[in-house]
Amino acid sequence: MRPFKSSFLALVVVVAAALAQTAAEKPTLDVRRVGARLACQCGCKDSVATCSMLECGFSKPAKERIARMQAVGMSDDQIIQAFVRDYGPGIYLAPPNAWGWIVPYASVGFGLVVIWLFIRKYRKPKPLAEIGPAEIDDPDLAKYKDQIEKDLAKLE
Amino acid sequence: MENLGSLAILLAFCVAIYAAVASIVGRVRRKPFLVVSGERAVYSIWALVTLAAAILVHALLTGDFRYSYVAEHSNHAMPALYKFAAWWGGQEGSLLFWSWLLATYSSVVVFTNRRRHRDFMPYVVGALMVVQTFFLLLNNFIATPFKMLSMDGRITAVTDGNGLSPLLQYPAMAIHPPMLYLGYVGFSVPFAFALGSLITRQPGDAWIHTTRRWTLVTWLFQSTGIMLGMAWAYHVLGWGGYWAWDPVENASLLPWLSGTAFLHSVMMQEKKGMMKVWNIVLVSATFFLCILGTFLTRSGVVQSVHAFARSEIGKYFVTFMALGIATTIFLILDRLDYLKSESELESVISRESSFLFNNLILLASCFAVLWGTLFPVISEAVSNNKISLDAEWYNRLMVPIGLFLLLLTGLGPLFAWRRTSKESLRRNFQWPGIASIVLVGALFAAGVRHPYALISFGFCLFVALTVIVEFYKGARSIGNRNNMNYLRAAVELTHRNTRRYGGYLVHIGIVLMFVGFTGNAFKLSDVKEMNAGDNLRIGHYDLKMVRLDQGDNDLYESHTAVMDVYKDGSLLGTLRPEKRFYKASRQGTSEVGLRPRLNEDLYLNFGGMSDDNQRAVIQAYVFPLVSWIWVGGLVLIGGTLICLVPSKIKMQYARTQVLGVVNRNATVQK
Amino acid sequence: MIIVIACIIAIAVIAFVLGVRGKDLPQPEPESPFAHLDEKKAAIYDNLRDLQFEYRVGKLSEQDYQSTKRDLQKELASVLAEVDRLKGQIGVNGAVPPVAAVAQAARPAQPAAAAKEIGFVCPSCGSKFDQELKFCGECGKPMKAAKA
Repeated sequence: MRPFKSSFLALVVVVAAALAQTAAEKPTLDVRRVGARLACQCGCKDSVATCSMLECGFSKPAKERIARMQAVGMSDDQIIQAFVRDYGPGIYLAPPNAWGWIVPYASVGFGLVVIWLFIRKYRKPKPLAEIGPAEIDDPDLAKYKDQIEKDLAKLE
Repeated sequence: MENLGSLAILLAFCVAIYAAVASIVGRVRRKPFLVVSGERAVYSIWALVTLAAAILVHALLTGDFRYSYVAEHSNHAMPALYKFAAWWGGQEGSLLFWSWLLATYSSVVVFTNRRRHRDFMPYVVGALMVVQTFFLLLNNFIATPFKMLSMDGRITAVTDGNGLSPLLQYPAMAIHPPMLYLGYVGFSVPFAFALGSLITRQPGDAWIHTTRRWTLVTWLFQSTGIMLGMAWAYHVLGWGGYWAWDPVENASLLPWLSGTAFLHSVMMQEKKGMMKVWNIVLVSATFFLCILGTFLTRSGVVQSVHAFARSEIGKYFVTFMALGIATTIFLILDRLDYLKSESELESVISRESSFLFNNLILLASCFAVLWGTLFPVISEAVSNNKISLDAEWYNRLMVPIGLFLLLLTGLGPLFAWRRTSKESLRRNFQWPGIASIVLVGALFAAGVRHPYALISFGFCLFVALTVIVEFYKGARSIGNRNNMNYLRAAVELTHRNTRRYGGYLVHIGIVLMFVGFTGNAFKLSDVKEMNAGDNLRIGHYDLKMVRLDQGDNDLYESHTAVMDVYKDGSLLGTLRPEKRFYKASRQGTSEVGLRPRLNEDLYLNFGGMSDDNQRAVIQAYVFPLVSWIWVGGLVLIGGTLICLVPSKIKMQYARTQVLGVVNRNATVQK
Repeated sequence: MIIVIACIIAIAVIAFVLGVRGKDLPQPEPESPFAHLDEKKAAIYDNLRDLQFEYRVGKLSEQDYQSTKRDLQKELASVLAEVDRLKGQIGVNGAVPPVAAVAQAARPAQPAAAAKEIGFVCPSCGSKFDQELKFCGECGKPMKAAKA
């Protein structure tokens, strides 16, 4: 039983290593998810998943290592723990906390309130249904009617 | 030579300070001589900065490696085009480029307005020159392009330079930065006009009319710049994406979003005299987002592929922006009475309201992107927690917002100005709505289950139909009255109101781009280590590696995989994905093998060699519909160009007859 | 050598910037005190034209069309009233002689005379025209500001 198990593990590691080679070039979603939680140490200030340096000395092997660890069934937390153990707590990138989510949505809500206030302030009190004749009813303005009519005829 | 360059920018800096002071003092004290002298200073700055730029470009082209800038960003083997592009390839050069563009714009503004708007032009010049002074300050004292390499106190040269980053040695990338910068710098002009108009309390909307074309052209440059950036990422980075929510990409998107909001809300002011405060706020916000964009790209606050330089430049930007924003806010608050709205909303169901929502969504997306870009920095500063927002976060937030915006693009034109009765609305809404629902049903029946994709396709059809109906109805009306065929009538229609119908074309461009974005939901990908003779099947395609070539030249070494592409057994063609290793900068790049078609792109990337160096790692992707993004981009550019054509019909009505030259300051007090 | 070139550049810039002579002052395009009201008028006419067009292609109901048209006409009338008020205030029709514009202080103020119906006369060369022109058809000088 015992020899079988270790040879099985060895097989897993070999397969994982083969997978990892390609994983570094095209990280799977799983690798990207974990990689996004780890700061790349190459000086780019990006995460392991987003470091865009080709042939990066840190993010490339790190992605391979993540893929290997996932292949042997380690959970995301365990992988991150392993990295934190090796590189110190500075490597951990927290996922966006509640602020990250609330603020953009709050801004939409705030905007809606502003629009509501705007409409309330500038809305004419007159109801839509009140439609008078298509005439200028104000006597002060009536004298301009002729000129307007003349100009209107010239439109187009 | 280098001393001459340093002298030119130093002199330009002094002259810029003089120009700002002379213009403003000349206006306040009413000294026309001083004002004209300030305007001449603007031309001199252009001449001086041009001289400095010419010296730098000359050094780049001739490979004068005594300059540290040339040594860092150029090398002998580079083609002349990229040697020239190295002008904006690094921090010092690109800031000089900024200064030069601003000086050019300012000179054009001063020249075209030399006899107009005498009342507020001095303030416009003043505002532009303050910005110019800031950038010349950076050019002179923080990031001077004329630093020489020295050893033991003597100027020395290196034998060859590091070369431009190979990622940037690509035609689209050579013109991408100038396009974006033309956009960034261009918004200084409408902003300066807005300030000038605000300070002198101009009656009417002269600043809007004068800068309408500026704004459109600037927006066009920005859109083109962003599109080129997307095309570059797609073709060069080798992972088939065109947008990664990289901080520098975000930096270019931010002013574009607020600029788009401005282009729309400005119509409210032109048509109804409403939202005056808002428009000033928007144009200012766009200007400061442009400065922020330059800052993000150049300060290294949020590092990414573009921000290859890190320096002390950040605090200067922050100080400048803080002072600028404070001044702008003060001016707006001080003159709120002047910016009072002239009319009211007749009805909630109207074009006006649709513009309000359009502005809300554009600004909300702008804010969300800004928040996402700055949140990691803020969080680290406040709580010392390092945080990363991945593309996933942006997508989850921005996809619904984008879809809503798409819907508004279709809804807006259905509403009439002032008021729309439910009956009109129903009539305009009915057929496009039904057709879209039918399309979504058909797609669902055909097996498409991706919810966002279904919604997106439905909205795309809806928007496209509303625009087509708009053209059709207008063309029919004109055609029937003037006895024209519909095609000619449609051209006539567009010519009569270029802004409106050009705008509709831009909307069509956006729809086509959304079609392209939606195709991303159906992409296929596969990776395989391959040797000559190996096969890989992806989608409908069978790929066969014919051979593996190696190459070597002055610039780079390369591996090329020659791949035959078959579909249903017949040969479609040969693709050659390539991996390059640039010698000067010791960096690798990918040249992807691409078979672009309107329905889908086949995209092959040479990932690298396998561990045993025997096989090539080939990444194969199929991206459905992605070409429509570029088609949509071209339509968008075309539509914007149509907007720039003057409308054919001029208003015919009695102008107020003016007699004598009148002191206008005495006449306009309300 | 470099020092000589540097000095030449510096002197040239300073001379160009500071050497503004009286005749270098630009003659500003005459600006109408009614420009902003004309602008407003143009906007309303534009709106009316759009409204008419949208009504004709069937985008608007009769009711919407009529009520919006009435609103626009009212607005137009109030702009025209404002124009008249302004005219009265500054005495365009010859009641008060206009004051010279600030920017034109260096030049003699142009005489302003008011007489309608005669036509439009170029202040520079004296040619007469039936309609109002921005620039003289004979001599090409701006003539929007003055007519006899």
